[in-house]
Amino acid sequence: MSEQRILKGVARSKGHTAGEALVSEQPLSWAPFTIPNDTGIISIFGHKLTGQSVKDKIVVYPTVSGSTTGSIGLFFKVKESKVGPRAIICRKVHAIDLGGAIAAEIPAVDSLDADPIHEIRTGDWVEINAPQVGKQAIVTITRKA
Amino acid sequence: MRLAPYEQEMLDGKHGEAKRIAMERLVDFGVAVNAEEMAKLSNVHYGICALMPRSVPEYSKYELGQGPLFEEFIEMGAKVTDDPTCLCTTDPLFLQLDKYAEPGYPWNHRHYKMPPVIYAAVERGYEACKEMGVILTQSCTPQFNTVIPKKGEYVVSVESSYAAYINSILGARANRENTVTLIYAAITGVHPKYGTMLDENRRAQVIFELADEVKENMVDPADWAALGAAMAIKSDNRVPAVLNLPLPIPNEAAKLLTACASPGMNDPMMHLIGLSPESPTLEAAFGGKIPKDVDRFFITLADVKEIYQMLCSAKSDKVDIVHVGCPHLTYYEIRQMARLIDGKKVNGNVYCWAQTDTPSYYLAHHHGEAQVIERAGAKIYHSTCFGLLPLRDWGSDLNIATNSFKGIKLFGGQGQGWMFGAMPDLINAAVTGKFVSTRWQ
Repeated sequence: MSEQRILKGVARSKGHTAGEALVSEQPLSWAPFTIPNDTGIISIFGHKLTGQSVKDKIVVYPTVSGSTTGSIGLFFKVKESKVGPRAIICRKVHAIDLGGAIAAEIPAVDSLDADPIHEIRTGDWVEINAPQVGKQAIVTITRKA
Repeated sequence: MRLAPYEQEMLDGKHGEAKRIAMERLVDFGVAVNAEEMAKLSNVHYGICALMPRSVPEYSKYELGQGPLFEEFIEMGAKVTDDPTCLCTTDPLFLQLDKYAEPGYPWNHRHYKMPPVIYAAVERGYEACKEMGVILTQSCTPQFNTVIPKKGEYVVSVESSYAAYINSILGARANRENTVTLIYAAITGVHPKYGTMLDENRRAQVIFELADEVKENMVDPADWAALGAAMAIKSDNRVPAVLNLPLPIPNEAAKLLTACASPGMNDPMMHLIGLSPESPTLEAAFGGKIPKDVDRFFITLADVKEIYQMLCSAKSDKVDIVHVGCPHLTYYEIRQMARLIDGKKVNGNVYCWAQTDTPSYYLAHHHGEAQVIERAGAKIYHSTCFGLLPLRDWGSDLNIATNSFKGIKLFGGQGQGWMFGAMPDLINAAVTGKFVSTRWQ
């Protein structure tokens, strides 16, 4: 048995993908010195998810924090070293992460009709359908019973 | 987006393939951030790239991510904009190139040695950027010696602390810019106008009033960093207005106060009432009227002290590295350090590093402070950010003492223990090998 829930938001970067959620209550930085480009392992001072991998995850977090190099870090981890996430979902996608998501060609979604940090749990299966920038994105959350 | 005639010509390919591609991607980004038009820039401040083949085993460890973006432009022989009103400058990278082989520096010491292939990659990137027409400032504080944007000008910057200084002290306009479109901005000289470039996003949203005890006790650079950090954390990404600053404040205080932007504030704007060009009064900071329900915080010395404690993660008082210069030391800070270290000797188990920009480095050599620092066994170097090196390879049994909130928040999650202290305590730690904080005791 599994439980499914649908949220609607806005596509900031477009795409269609699905994957397992990794949810961070704290802001996140994709910079190479906070999530190394060769490992994809979170290594942030004072961050609860330090030690966890972002590879192939749908990463859900409030918004960016830290270095502007988060854009190129996100791009590189997805496109070059293949340890990056499949998509990002934020309360607000900051331009630092948006630039990276567009270059990485992965969906970036925000402005959901419920708080994604509370609605999505780590381990949930999340599907994102975000066909057009600035238009509606559908986020389908499936939780195993 | 609405484009000016020359921007449209770039997009149509009338000024070459590089400008066409760059313009196309800038428009894509502009649409994504709902920008209505482009801003004509007076400065594009980006990082240089390290160029290495993808077959190099260390490729993913060292490549920050801009190399692949630069690649296509370098291959087509592209140049940065030749508009004389737009300077293209750079942030620091991994090492001071002419000191690669010398021991005792962040890139060559007993805990770590930069592989030759990375040195070669930085050198190649340096030459390629020069060929593109970039001015290689390699500074995270270009506002002090190289580029001084004027009120109302638009800048795109990889360097958050520079962006915050531009907005808050100089009255020019910059975001903490995403590091993908910066290269396209360098090629074209324009960037979508959005975020903190727009009036509506620059206005204050929260008020901080400094207690008189704060005003009277800001004496060390670390105090200003801690004060900035305290406000940045409480602001929760709202633009702060700050009352009761001890004006006038030194340049270094302005630098460190605003440098909290990178780890603490996503919109790099602080209204320092009576100092920021747009904020002669609190009302002006809010764009005319202060909302009745605005959040107000009263900042006391306890808030400053709390940051000192929060930034200490080391499990013992043993110090392996003392690092100052994040953001780059000004010449005045180098003088302060030289005065404190003159006649002393750095402990044989400790590295003591002073990081600065190229003009200040040569000024300090010219006037002798650099020699004082090196005679004591410390190292002074330029054009570098040690935090960009893979600190996680240096081992976890390593404690680093610094006065940088920014440094700890950005680079401090890689296994080392950190200590945050005032300059006299840092110099004392370098000499004795033990860190004891005497500030706020």
